[in-house]
Amino acid sequence: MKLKDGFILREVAGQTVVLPTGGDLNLNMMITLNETAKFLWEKLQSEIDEDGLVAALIAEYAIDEETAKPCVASFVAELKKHDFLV
Amino acid sequence: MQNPRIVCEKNMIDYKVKLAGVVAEVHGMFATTKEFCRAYLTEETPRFSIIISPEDIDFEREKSIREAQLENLPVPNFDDAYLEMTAVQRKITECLFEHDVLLFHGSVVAVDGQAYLFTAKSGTGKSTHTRFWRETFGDRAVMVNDDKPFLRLTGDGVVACGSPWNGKHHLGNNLCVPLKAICVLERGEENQIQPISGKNAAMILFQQSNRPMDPRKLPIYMDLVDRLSKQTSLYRMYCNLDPEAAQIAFDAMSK
Repeated sequence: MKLKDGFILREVAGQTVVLPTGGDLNLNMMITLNETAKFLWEKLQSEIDEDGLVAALIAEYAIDEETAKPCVASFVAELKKHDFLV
Repeated sequence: MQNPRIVCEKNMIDYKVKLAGVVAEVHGMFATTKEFCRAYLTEETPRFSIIISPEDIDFEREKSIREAQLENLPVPNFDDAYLEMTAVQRKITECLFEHDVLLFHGSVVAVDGQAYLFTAKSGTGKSTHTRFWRETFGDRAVMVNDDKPFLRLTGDGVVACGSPWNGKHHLGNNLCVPLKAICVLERGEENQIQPISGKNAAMILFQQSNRPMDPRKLPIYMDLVDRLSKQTSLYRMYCNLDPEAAQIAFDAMSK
C-alpha cells in the first residue's frame, strides 16, 4: 500500500499540515500530523506494507513490536477510513 | 496583395483595479462588476491581467450549486452578472498569492491606525462585534472591510486592506492598515479574551482564507498562512452580545 497522489505536506505554525491538491469538494479539508504520524506518512510515500511500517517505527523510536504494531494498525485504519491509500 | 488582417470583436469591459497595493487588469463581461469595483479603479500599470469567460461564469454557477447541496441548502439561482463578481474575486485572488496577498474571511476594524481582524464561523457575530467597536470608539474607528479583506504579508508585518467584497451591509473602505491582531470569535456566556498560539489558530487560519485553485500554488499559500501565524498576535475571544465586549477586546489586543 501507499498514499494516493495529491497531498502536500508542509510545516505551518509549528505543526505538520497536509492539504489535498485536487478536487474542490475537499477544499476545506486540513490534516494535521504529529511527529509519529509524519514519520509514517513519509514512509507511505512509496509502497510499503504494515510489517514494513512496524519495522521502520521500531528502528526509528527504539520501541518493541508490541508497542509498534497497534500504533501502525490504528494509523493505517484511519488512513483507509478517509480513503487516502492505494 | 493586402496584408492579412483580422478583426475580433469581443465587447469586453476593460478596467484596472488596485487591490492590496497590487494593480490587476480585468477584461470582464459586465459593466456592473466594474461599478462594483469602483472604489478600487486605477490607471496605474497592472502587474497581471485576468479575463472572464463564459466558462468562468459556468464554473462559479456549478460551484455555488455544489456548495449549497453540500450544506443541504436550496439550490441558488444567481444571474451571470452576480456570478462574475465572484469569478473576478477568485481569479484575482489566485494571482495575488504570488504577491504575498491572501483573501481572508472576517471583519476588520481599524482604531487609532491599527487594524483588528475578527474571524469566526458564519453567524457567530463578527459584524455585530465590529459594530460595537464603531459604537464604542466613534470617529476613532474605521471599517476596513466587513467580510473579505485582503491581508498582505510584508517584511515589516501584515497589512489589512479593503476589497470590493465587503459583506451584506457593504461596510468597508479602500484602505491598507497595519494589522495589530487576529481574534477568533466564539459565543460565550461572559466576555473573555486570551492570547492563543499559532498552533491553536492554524486550523481556523486555513479554514478562513481562500485556497488557490491551482495545486502548484499550495506551497506558496501554506507558507503565507505560516507567516501570518508568526507575524500577527493571535487571540481567542468568547463573547456575548453585550457592547462592552468591544472595550474588553480592545484593551487586551491594543497593548
